[in-house]
Amino acid sequence: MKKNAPISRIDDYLQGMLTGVELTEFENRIEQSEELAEDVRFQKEVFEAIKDERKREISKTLNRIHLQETTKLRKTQRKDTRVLRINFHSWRLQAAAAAIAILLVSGGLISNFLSNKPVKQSLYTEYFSPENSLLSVRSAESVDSHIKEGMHYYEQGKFTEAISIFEVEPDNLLGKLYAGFSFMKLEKYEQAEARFLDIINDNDNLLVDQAEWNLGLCYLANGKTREAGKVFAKIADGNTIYNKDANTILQKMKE
Amino acid sequence: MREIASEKILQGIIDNDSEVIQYIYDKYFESIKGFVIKHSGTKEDAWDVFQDGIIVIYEQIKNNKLALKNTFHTYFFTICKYTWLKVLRERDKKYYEQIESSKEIEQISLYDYKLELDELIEKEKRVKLYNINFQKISVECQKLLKLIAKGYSIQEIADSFSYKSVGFAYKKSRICKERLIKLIQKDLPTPKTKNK
Repeated sequence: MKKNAPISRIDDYLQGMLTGVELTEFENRIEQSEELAEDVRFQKEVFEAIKDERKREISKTLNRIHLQETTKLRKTQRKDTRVLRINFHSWRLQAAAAAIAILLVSGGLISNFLSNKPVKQSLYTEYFSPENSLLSVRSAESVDSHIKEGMHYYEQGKFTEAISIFEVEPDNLLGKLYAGFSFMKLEKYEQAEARFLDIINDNDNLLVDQAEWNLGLCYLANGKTREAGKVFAKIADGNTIYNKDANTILQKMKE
Repeated sequence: MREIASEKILQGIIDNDSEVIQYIYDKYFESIKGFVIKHSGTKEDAWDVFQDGIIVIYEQIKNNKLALKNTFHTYFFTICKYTWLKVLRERDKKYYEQIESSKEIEQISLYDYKLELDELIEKEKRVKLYNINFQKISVECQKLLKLIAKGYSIQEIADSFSYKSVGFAYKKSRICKERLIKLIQKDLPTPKTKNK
């Protein structure tokens, strides 16, 4: 049996990018293989569905109306009991909200003040080396082809393009790790932090150690000394390859 | 509630006129919910049936395949009831057979529409799946694929996203498409393709 055409080949055909012999050969294959014909029909249907923006708009309108109506209904059902409670609770809620706001503002100011003390930027430069982390994953056979493609851009120093590819698969943790590295290279530490935190929060994966280590470095680079200290202290207490370096960084941070 | 003529309702659907859609919702949803719940369905089933009914009618108008023989009211109810019975036939055959002979069900006759409706309902089930997965890909991919669908060239896409090269825009569009197709394939009951 003939091997099926890849998605991209079918797409080239549907986009009218095949010509001459290539086109004739592909059409012959479609005629001979019901499976390929079905694949072509399927991809065509998917892209026709994307085209139909109006249908998606109608679905959105319907959902909006349904949500409004069900919310209205629920509100009406709860109205009687809520009327009694709302006045009693409102002053407390307002007072609590005001207190929280004051705490947040003052806490934020204090934390900003603390984190603005001289930043250990040099430590970041000294220790930031994602290449050490990359070696262990670069040759992995199971790596998704898109992620490999993103890695290729990363290795070429095309970090914006690399991120753009990694973010095509937002659930892929390896892609997320590399996106984090790419953001670090672009000195966009907040974005890098978000990727590493996602990996850490996922917890059950082999990339947590690397994510924690690099999160600590991002905090350092971003002037978040206190957060960096916490992350490195945790790493220093653990049993990973970063344990020794984390201890050294903590020492240097105290100097 | 003021009445809206059938022709205006059909036009309102194709125009995504929220006033008309609200009218259809206000006028018909509760009755359809009643029918579905009466025949072993849930509120959520009723909502699915109602949406499918509107989308089926939209498809028929779009493809010039809808010639109303009765009022919109009669046709819409018939479609929704038929859609729910089709679900029941697949979900609970025993129950379906029990109610099949009832007077209420006998009235649901669609004559020449039947085969076309079956195809449409099946297609819409698949399209729903495509759209669900379309929402799962990155926002950038969604925008890019929409532009391709609208007929924008790769050069225009590269410019629109400030990509550094046309080659990258092409590669990105290929990756986005593959990502979408693979996500859909995972969700399809029987994989449509086994290719890469």
